[in-house]
Amino acid sequence: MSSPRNEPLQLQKVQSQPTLYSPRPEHFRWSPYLFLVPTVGMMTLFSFFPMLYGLWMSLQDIDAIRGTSRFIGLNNYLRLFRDPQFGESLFNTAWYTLTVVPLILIGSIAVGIFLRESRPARLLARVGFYIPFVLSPVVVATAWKWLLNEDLGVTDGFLKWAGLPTVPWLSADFSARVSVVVTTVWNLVGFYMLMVLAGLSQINAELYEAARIEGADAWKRFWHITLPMLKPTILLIVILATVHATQAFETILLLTAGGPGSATRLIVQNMYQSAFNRLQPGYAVAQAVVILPIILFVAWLQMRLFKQEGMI
Amino acid sequence: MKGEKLNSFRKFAYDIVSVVVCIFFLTPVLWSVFSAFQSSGNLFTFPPSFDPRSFTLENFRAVFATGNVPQYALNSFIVATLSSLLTVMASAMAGFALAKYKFLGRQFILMLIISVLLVPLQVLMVPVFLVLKTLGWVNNLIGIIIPPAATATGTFMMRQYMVGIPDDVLEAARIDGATDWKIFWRVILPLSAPALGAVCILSFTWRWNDYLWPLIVINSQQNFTLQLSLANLIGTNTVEWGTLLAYATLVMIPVLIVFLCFQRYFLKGSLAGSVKA
Repeated sequence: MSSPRNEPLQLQKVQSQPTLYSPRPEHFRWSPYLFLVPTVGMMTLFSFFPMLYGLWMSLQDIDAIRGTSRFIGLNNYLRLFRDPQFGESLFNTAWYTLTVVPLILIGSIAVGIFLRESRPARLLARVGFYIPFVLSPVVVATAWKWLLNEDLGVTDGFLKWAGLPTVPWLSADFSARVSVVVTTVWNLVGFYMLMVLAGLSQINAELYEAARIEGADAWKRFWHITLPMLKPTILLIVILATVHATQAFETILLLTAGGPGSATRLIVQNMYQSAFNRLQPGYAVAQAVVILPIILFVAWLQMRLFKQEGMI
Repeated sequence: MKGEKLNSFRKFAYDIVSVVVCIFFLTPVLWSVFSAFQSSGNLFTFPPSFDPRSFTLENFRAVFATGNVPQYALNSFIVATLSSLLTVMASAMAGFALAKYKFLGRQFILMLIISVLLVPLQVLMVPVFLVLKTLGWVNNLIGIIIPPAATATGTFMMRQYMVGIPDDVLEAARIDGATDWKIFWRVILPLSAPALGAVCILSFTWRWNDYLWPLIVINSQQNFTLQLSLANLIGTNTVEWGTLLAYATLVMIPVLIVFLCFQRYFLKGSLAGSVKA
């Protein structure tokens, strides 16, 4: 994703290797490190150390009430295999991810193409589509809960008004799952639309001109030019949306609290409850460690992408 | 000629469709705000009445009876402001080092920062909570001000911007005898104003909207942020929808104002780091 040179805030291709400013010899050793102290310090304390500490914790049986802990090796992990609740949350995360990611992909490409031209009305619509992404999870959950609220909400109000049967949006397994997925896609699609727009701006307009002269219709142009040219963007969207989906927590917690039953309880919520409701932090962390390979794989992919873009 | 006219008409039609679709897309928000102004009697009628005479502020008054809302607002404001300033300062410094210096371990530090981008709080919340507990920052606003302040997105945005500042400028300052810190403070920071602004605005909205950190760290009412107290209302069994929606409207207003005023920064800036911090 590169951009015109006068738009410095977008991710641009910069050669990262030669940093041109070599400071005076007497400062050579220290100043860059000193400049990095606040950021690296905070990250160490609140990210890297917790990562390692988490790994250690997952090998312990921690009694949060008495404050005692006992080394139990891999028992927490073995317990995961026998825990139907964890299995269910893993399954829930899987279907959630597998529906949210394609829907976000299709949605963001559709909206992006629709709002591609920079006419005032489309620019306005872009801002509108982005709005859900700047709202807090609490506000998003409140708005959707109101919308889907059974008997009283507008969706059911509309269905009744149209003489159709109402749907128990948040209180039956299947419809609650649908509601959660719809809410997530609605929340995030504007953000991914921006990526599609950035990708589209990279496509040479002459390609379309040439295709038009050859007599290719809109569908053919989309299929043979737009889609192939968007490939890097699509890859990035799939990666980031997967990250977003595997970590989904707050909005769902507020919207359905994981219910009905445990139909919409995903891994992170399961972990949160193990730690803070059932007070088994060691076991909770073991669950987090299980998601780690997924995240690391995605991290690796992203790292490669960043390298391609000249970020590292 | 005729084709051109038809074409511009089609474009205009498209414009209208795009705005209409966008408004439909925003139904959940618009409907919530609309409902917040309805009296409890009108709230559940469908089709709704759009008669402005039936609008009321009673729900907004009720919000302030749910708890010490001004205190929560103050907390949210303090947290978002201080945390953003910290983010701006830390990312500017780190961005400068990564953009303009050649030093041992630079690559390694970049990798570390990217890994922070990808291993989010959701996964780390339990050990992070214990770290905060050890520091005595649990149930303290400082626990939601400092820990989220180091963001990879902010650091990358600053770095990307500063790479574009010509080295001649730094060279000139150095010949004048400026120390590295002075170069950063007097030359780099003023030149990076747009990026500083962007990071500050983005960070303010992240922290204002934050629910996860406060959820983990804060447990007494006096330290609640707006998000936390609103979330608590959602959880109650007897939901007063009017109050809840009025509260949500109040909570989203500052962010919406910031977003609409600075939407350029959002629409461009958010791509730099790719992930919300």
